[in-house]
Amino acid sequence: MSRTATSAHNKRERNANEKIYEKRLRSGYGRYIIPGAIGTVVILLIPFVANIWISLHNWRGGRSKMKFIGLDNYIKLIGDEKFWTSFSNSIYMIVAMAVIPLLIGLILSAVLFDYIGREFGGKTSSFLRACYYIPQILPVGVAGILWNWILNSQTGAINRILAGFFGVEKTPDWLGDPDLAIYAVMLMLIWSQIGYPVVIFMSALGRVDPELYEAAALDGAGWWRRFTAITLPQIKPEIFVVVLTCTVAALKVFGPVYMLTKGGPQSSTLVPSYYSYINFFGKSQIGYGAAIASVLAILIAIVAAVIMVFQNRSAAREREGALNA
Amino acid sequence: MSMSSSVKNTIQGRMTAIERKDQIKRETANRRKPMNPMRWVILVACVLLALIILSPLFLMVLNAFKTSTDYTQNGPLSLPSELYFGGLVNFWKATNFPIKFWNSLWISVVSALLSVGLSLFNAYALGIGRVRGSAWIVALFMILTMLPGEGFIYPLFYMFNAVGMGNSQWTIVIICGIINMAFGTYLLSSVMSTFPKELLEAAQIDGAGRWRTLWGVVFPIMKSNCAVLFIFFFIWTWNEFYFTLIFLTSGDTQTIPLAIASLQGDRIMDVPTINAGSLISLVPAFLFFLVFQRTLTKGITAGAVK
Amino acid sequence: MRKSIRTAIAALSASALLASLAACGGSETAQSEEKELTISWYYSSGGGDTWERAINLYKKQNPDIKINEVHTSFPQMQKNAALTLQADDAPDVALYNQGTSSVGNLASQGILADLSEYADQYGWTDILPESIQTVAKYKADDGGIMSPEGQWYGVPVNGEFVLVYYNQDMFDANGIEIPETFEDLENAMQQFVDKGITPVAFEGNETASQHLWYQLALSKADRQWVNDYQSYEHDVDFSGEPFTYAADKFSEWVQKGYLPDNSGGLVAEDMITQFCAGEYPIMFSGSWWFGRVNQDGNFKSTFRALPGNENLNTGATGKLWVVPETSKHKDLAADFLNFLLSEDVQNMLATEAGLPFNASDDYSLDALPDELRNPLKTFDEMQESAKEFNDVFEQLLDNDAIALYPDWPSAGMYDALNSALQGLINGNSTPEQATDEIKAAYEEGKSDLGL
Repeated sequence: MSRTATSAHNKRERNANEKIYEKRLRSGYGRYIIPGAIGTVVILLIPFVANIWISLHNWRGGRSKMKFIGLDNYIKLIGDEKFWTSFSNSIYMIVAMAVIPLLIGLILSAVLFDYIGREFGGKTSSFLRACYYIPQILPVGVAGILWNWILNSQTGAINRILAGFFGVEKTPDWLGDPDLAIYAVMLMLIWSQIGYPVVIFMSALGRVDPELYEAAALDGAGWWRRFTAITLPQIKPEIFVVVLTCTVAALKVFGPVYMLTKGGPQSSTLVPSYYSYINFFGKSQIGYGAAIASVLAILIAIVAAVIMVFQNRSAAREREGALNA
Repeated sequence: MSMSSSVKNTIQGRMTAIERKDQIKRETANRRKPMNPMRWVILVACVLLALIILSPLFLMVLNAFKTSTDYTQNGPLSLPSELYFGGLVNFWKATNFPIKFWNSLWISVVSALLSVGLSLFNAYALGIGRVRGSAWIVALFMILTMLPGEGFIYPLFYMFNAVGMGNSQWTIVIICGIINMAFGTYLLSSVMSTFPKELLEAAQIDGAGRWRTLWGVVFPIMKSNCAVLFIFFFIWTWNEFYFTLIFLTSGDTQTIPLAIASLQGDRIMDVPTINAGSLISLVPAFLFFLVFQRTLTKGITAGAVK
Repeated sequence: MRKSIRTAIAALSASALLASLAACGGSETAQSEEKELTISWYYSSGGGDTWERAINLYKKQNPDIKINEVHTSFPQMQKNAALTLQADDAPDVALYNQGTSSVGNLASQGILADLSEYADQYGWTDILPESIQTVAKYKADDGGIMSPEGQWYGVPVNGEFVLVYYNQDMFDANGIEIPETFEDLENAMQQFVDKGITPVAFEGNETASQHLWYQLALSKADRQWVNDYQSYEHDVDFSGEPFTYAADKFSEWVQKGYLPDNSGGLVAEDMITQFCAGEYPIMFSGSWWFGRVNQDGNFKSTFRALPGNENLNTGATGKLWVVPETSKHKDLAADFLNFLLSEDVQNMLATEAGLPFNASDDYSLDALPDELRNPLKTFDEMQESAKEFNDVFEQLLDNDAIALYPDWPSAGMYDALNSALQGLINGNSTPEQATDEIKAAYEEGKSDLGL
């Protein structure tokens, strides 16, 4: 059956009885969500509620007694300087894990797909993509050891290069200087994060109709013009996916901070999840740790909701645009 | 009776069209071959970037084959003075590598399959079925998975112990499966929301039920996206550290990342052994990625039918 | 119908959760008659696989006991002991950390068994020196504070202390004598600085900086000060001499270039690697590096107790062995702990400079049972040096000089001390600011304990 036949048929039926048709087309899907929903409720929702419940207590964990203290933990948070430091550091984490990798990832994937792939063949571009992705495969524990060697103030690779090739006399103390440490952590995060958007965007570009590019090329559109006029709009859903997941990952970031700085020096690289971890497992202030985790969860919920609203709006606009056209 | 023939034809038609286009593209590319110096500049830039990104891994390889004394005397940045495989042997023996490898492998594969399957179901209901309140459901899924692990570890630990799953690998399969599922649901349903209506309509006219439509029409088109997800989930579960640390307490249940961590005693770190261990533990995940990444570009996804 | 399913699921899972939370009330665990013992251990400082060898000998001596081993890791125990040691399938005996923030904390949560009866029964109270017994005793009802009046919640089998390692070759090459007094030490460091050599291998991210700071404070303190600081016997005066002296001296050493000002972000592994590579002549650190310095250092090394700390010195026991309350084989567990304090095992520790408490005077490598011999023969060449090393520690024990670690009062102290001292290392804070930061964390920890 050809496309015209289908759409003609489609139109006829729609004219006949649109409402019944829509209903029939959309019914019977509900049961597919049941297994996932049960899993989510048991593994995530109930523990989440239990966590909030714990955050209303003073509890040292284990078999010790829980003492209900209402919102005291949250009130304490407001006056806790470290809590605020940790959340403002999250902004740096978002830059390092979402903003920069997104921008680099967009350009890289477009170059790999639209240029390298075309000029040097798909094998070259997928090989390069694999190279960019490797840091994502590395367990963070191992990556942390490697980056400690690179950033070491005395014997690290970066400082050796700075001293050897550029003759810098007073090489920076990357992980020991409170003004620098956060940038050092960011460097590792960017490194580990780049491959992720590249892979997602390239798979997205795979479903863009090559004719679009060919037509644009025939019209004399340069690479940049093709990038902004075709690539960006076509892979919008994936851009939203990357923005959302990376932002959330940035808010949750734990491993690299644990491996590189343990929140130091002088709390300059403290992040919320590490701060909550200290309270959970270091200080055994389970209730307070739970309160930090809850605030973090709420913040993440808000950020995620905002991004998803934007995404829905943009998708709705697109559908309207398609209808008007 | 069998899969709707019209749908099959439609898909096949699209596929051949795309293949033909690819072929034309390749031919034109072959014919063109301009002596443009820019193309080499860009290639070199891309390769350079790849080298920079890989450089920390060279460090790992460099230190995996050094003796501990060599490492101490000459630091992490020097070449090994002799090729030493003791680190590798130590790691293999000390961690009983084959068992850890098998644990990691089956946990990751089963968990990734579980997540992909559940994601596909969810996305089918949400992205195509547009179940009422679907935006809210996706949002709820996403938000819950974003909770920091510390936040639910205590309740989860008590729950699983209460049902006698204290040291069971299935806890990891289930927990990782559900957490990854949310991501998959989000990604697949946002792609499926652009799924071409005409295909679904055609399937319906042919009398295909929801189940058959899912496997006969939707799944073949979403295959590439599912493959991407499977790779991500496999690697994420392979590297999962936090939940495995808490739930897998004995040697015969533990995974490779835990085995590496167990070499890091308090104030004790045999660097060459750890590096060698990291290196061989990286190999399976890397091979896996290489094998499956070929499917990533075969992009017959929803949008291609537009 | 759908609604009812939803309600059912919610009710089911909620009740499962409540049941599991309710299950964690403290109650005596019934003891089993089975001869079975599950031992959880990891590679720890003081001779990586010594525990493995000890367990092998125990197996041989007790063929009727079925022994299960759980090989875990330090990070795993550090993070999850609170969870894993209270599970139903928890091990019967486990190697764990020491101090208020770890063993004390678990004791206060009711996770660990009170071993006081066994301590009397087996005579551990006689075997272990008084100051060492303190590390084993915690007041479970008082936030788990370590105290001589507490109950036994763990058993130490060897010691640890902080000392100075010297690279003899570097001292000789520069014509500098190994210092024997505190003044000599400062002079020696100055001489190295004058020759353009940074004298001290150091790090500010793990324990070296806080241990040095504590050593300096202890050199101006007395035993009551230690009891006040560690066990909250009286209020601690942060404007008193020990604290002001420690911060001032520490900062002075940074400014004079004795301590490298770019070491704030380094970790212990960096420090030991650089010292062993022969880049620095001096390292202030713990007894746990003895093997590493001797094995990896391509130079003649020597060691001293830190001059000025003869009467109070940073140090304690090694890791403690604990018995979870859920264990069904507590008698067997206690028997195994007693085995670890027996002469055989203690002599093995002695041959590896492991600072034992109960080694015989005439111990020797050859007299060890086969199971306890180090298969790699790592320490065979170092027997004399190891004996000297044990003797230095013995001397401190005789002086009753063991003064624990600075981060032990409460769990937040470790990070707070490092953070404050990093400020001194990178010159971002004054000694007064650093002391204030430490004080704030100390008082916060105290109030968290409900004192």
